Amino acid sequence: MSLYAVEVEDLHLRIKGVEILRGVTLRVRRNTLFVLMGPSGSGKSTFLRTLNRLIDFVDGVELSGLVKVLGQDIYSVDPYDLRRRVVLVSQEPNPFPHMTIYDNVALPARLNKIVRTKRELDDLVRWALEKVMLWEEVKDRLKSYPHALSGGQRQRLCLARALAAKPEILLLDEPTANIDPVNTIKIEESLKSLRDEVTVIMVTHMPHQAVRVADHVALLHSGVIVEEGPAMEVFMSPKKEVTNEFLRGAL
Amino acid sequence: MFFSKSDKLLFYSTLPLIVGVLGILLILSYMILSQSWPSFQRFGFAVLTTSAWSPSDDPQREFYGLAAPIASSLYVSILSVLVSLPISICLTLTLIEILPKYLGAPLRYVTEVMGGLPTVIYGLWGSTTLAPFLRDQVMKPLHDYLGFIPLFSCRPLTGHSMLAASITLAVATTPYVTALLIEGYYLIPSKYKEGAYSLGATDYEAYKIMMGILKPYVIAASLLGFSRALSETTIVALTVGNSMKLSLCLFDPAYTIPSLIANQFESARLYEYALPTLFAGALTLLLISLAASYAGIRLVYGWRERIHV
Ligand SMILES: Nc1ncnc2c1ncn2[C@@H]1O[C@H](COP(=O)(O)OP(=O)(O)O)[C@@H](O)[C@H]1O
Ligand SMILES: [Mg+2]
Repeated sequence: MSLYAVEVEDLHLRIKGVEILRGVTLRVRRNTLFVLMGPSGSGKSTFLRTLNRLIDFVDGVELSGLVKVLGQDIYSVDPYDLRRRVVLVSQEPNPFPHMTIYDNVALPARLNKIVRTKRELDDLVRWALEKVMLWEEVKDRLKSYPHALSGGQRQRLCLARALAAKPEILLLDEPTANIDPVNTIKIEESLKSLRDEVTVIMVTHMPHQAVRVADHVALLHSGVIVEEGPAMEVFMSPKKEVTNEFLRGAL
Repeated sequence: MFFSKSDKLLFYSTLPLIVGVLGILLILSYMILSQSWPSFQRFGFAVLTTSAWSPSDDPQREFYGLAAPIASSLYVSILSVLVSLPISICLTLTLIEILPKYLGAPLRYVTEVMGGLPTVIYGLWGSTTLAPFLRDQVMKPLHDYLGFIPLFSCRPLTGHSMLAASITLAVATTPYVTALLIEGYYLIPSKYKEGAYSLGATDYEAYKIMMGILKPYVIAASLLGFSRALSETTIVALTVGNSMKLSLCLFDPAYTIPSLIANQFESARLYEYALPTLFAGALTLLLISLAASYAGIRLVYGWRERIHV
């Protein structure tokens, strides 16, 4: 088994002729919390959506270079299977409005048939909701619909739903971009507690967040990785001027 | 509640329009109510719950009851929605998701054009082509082999029947309902489909989730389709057989309220209570159709709020 969850070599990606990723090379070790930082528009979301081939649904994408996820070239495996193992939580909370809180969390297990009994499903739902510290808040209204929840709760619900899929890699696209500090802390805490179970790749444009949670960071700027390394090293003594500027909030 | 002078100006300049629209609705309702009043006075609510159409020169011997055409209107319209809804749902998915864009886009255009065709075209086709075909190929065999089922128990005559009317209506309303569903499908933010795929859903599973999200909108679209079928006059008048009969059997001719009005309006003017009774039918139709449309629109508003949080 490969030591790395993700290995990317010289990835170029164009959408309708515009080059968005311009030679990304990056490796992410298994079971780390990896934070990909970068200013808006630098291509973070595009990169994340390439890793589980969600980018396939965008028209006019051209791609070159090598992307290996969990040891395999992503274009040599079944994309649906890939997305079951590499689950993405998008920036905007998207719990399914027609499903109850319970059904939202139970959905991936139902899709992937990873549980056999109702009891196992109940346990899985509870486990996932506890992981994101939402259980106490919703345990009495598992049968109600997600629109009654706050934005932060909805985002944590999506995180719980993703965890319930038991992914090997969890991709998080600015999971705290639109929510309040309390919910942000809760999400960050649950991410830290996940380290041993799953590889987390989180995207953020906020340097402080990276400081708080990351084991390993990389800075993406205009479609290339400008600096990369253990979080402490990068934060304490950045090697590039661009990194310095980004950390100061000047980008 | 106003932020600027121009907002105020805009509000006051549209005020006459708003008042105008509401005014026309009120005037129409009042007109229909007042015109139908003599019938309600003479027959009471029995005019809606009994079945009769016996005009007479002596007003004392006139008898009318609209139960049959009201029931047939509902029956034919509901049936047409039951036929058109599954077709519209399949068409929507096919046009948006399954066909490649270069086929789906022009076909969607064709669908919209078909929704705008004059209904008399559908009516003529239903009357001269579909009805005889249904009689020979569908009604007769069903009656011969499954005649013990009440729906098929009556002998098909000309083919002009509630079945022919429902199917013609279904064909005519399918483009309309499909256009509504397509619009609704595009209202669903793409984050949900992405969410489904992100969890490893297959295409089929993702469409199923999308249709689940669309469900309240589907109900709303069927209410609007129902309302449209209910008020459709030409198609029904040309295909339903126009006969005052209260029957469950699909092959029986019937009157719907609009076809009754279209057929009887001229002669009804000769009798004291016939015309008011036709107005009573129109009033019933108006109320049912308003209620269905209102329910549909309310449903869509609530739905839009929930999917956009
Ligand atoms: N579907 C798309 N079509 C065209 N351009 C896109 C598309 N998605 C992203 N882009 C462009 O790619 C660039 C990077 O976008 P994105 O990956 O969303 O950046 P980030 O997540 O870092 O803010 C932006 O300039 C954006 O306009
Ligand atoms: Mg982004």
